[in-house]
Amino acid sequence: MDSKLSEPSQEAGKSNAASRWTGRLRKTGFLLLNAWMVVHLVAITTAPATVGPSSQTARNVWDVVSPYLQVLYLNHGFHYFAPQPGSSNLVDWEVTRSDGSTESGRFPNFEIKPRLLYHRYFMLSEYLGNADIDQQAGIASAFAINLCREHSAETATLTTVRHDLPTMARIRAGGSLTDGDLYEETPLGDFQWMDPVR
Amino acid sequence: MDGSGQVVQSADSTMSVKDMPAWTLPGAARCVVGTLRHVTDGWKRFWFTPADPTVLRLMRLLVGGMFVYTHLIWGMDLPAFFGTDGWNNPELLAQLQHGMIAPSFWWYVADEWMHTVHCVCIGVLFLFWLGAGTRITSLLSLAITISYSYRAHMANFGLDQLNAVLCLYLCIGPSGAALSLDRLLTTWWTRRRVLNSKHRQDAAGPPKSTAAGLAVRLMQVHFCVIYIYAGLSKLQGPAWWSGEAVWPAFANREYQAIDMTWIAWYPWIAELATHATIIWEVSFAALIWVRPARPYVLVFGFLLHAGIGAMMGMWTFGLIMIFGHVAFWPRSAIDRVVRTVRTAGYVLGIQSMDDFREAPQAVVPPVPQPDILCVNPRLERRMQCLHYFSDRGLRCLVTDSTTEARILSDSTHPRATVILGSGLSDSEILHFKETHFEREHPEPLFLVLSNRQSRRLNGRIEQSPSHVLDGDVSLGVLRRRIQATFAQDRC
Repeated sequence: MDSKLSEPSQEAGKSNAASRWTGRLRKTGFLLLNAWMVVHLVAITTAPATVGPSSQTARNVWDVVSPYLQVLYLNHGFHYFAPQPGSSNLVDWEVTRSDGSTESGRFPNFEIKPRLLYHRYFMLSEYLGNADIDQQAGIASAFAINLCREHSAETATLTTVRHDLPTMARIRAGGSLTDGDLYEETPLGDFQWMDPVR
Repeated sequence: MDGSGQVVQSADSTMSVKDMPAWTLPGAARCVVGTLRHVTDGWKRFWFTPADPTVLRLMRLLVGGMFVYTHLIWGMDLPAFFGTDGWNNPELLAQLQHGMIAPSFWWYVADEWMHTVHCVCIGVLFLFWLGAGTRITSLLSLAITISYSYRAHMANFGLDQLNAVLCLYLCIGPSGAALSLDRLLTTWWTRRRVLNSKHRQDAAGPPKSTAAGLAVRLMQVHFCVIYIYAGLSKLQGPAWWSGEAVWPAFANREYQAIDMTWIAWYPWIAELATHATIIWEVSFAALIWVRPARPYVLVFGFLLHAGIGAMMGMWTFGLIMIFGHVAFWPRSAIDRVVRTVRTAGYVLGIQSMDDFREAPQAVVPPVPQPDILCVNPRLERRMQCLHYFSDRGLRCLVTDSTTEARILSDSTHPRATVILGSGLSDSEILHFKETHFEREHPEPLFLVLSNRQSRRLNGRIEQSPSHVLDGDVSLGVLRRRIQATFAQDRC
């Protein structure tokens, strides 16, 4: 009789303990979720604040949250067309094959389609054009290797072209967006590539 | 001691903490605790209110399509963008990304496996777009988006950033809860299992979900962050002040998709567009939360991004921003779009006709007429009322908003409605009161207002026909007033 009575009470005790544990786990989970949200909100608001000019505080917070942002690819400034839209950059290239034949081109160009692919090329030329001088050589070298690979060439000559923007007055006076004097060329040099396969 | 009374026993008197002024220690503590409770309640309400996952499922369809398109375009020249001897040379990227964590499975993919890996990725993204195994494919899509972005570092722009942001939040919420293969399979399985059974609510659409609400809120807040920084960063440039900033965008041959140089003869258009853009971006984070202003903010945003797409050829970027705005859309607009998508799905054969029909209503047992309907946004207060009145033999129904109270009042016909004013805005109380007595047979209305609320609403709320109780009224006093009204009605 006793055992019969005690069995249900043990069962009830077990279920109570289980529900207590579940409750505690839920509470802990909820606290952790809230903690993550606070970190996340701080992180996403800090990332754009660290784009210069920025405060030391923002940079200190960035040091803490940057790994989190970088893993999730949330490390962006969102400074679109800021501080103001400027001139664009193009890349002129010429490759020479082993038989002496040459080929040249410019990117981006409107023959690259669809538009998203064109934009990818535009971003490449912008990256090169806006890079620091010490980085520019490395980037140009990588671009030259790709051009040589694509055209089975051995040497590539690269030039960055800055395309300045005309003023409204110039357009009103009969100018166009593609006037020759709006383009300013900066040679980056000749690059050699030996195809490891060949 | 009344049901609501917190009492402090002293040797000679019983004094409620509520009665103590704020400058005393218990009074100040009460104020601090009250404020903290208010803040935590607001936080919980903002982030964790369950929401219909319809927004997320629509966003999955839109954003998922963009993921597939973005990655298909990468595939047009994989060796150039992802190859060892491509534009994004790994050794160069190691220098450029020095000190950064740049996770990408592409670092470990040999050139000869590039196309295979890319095809698998496209397959996963396609499954996510269709809503198959969404819980897993959403996470994989995030990993794919991040990996491509880091590997093709120099060819990235805003589209890739927004892809990652939106994908993260689509992973958090149940984005495959409907308009998906997952949903189709679940519905088919459920119908087969309980054919002609009473579990009809299984087919009545996905339930509200806290994760959906959280994901939508995170998207909304992230978009506010994006726009506030986009706007503030522009304020550093003189051209955004002088009104000339939009002209360089129009006059940039490399961006130009439509010839907009005619604007040179109408500079005021460029100036107006510049000022409007700045004002919109800077004010977005504030105005989007103002309900009457929201449609205008979204319409302007649509025009701005569609303009960027049409005039600067950045359709993908313009569209992904517009897709992000869906998180702010009102339910009615989303329902209209979902209905159209469902029709299209049915026509294409990927949506069952049963799903397309109006979902059957869940079987809900009839609710007995409650004695009291209590309205207060605070859960704790509602529970207090529920327990107090139920313990005293009064059937009590509680709700957190005046809107829901109106629906409940119309459907259950309570004998009395009680508005516990704390936490409700003056306009909500006034509006509820006005509309309450416009109905045919309104039940007695009790408005329990704090001293401050009472002072603020002085003259704007008539005592009759409602019953206004101001100050620290206990639940006991309230109950006696209600019961007296019931007794009068019986007489």
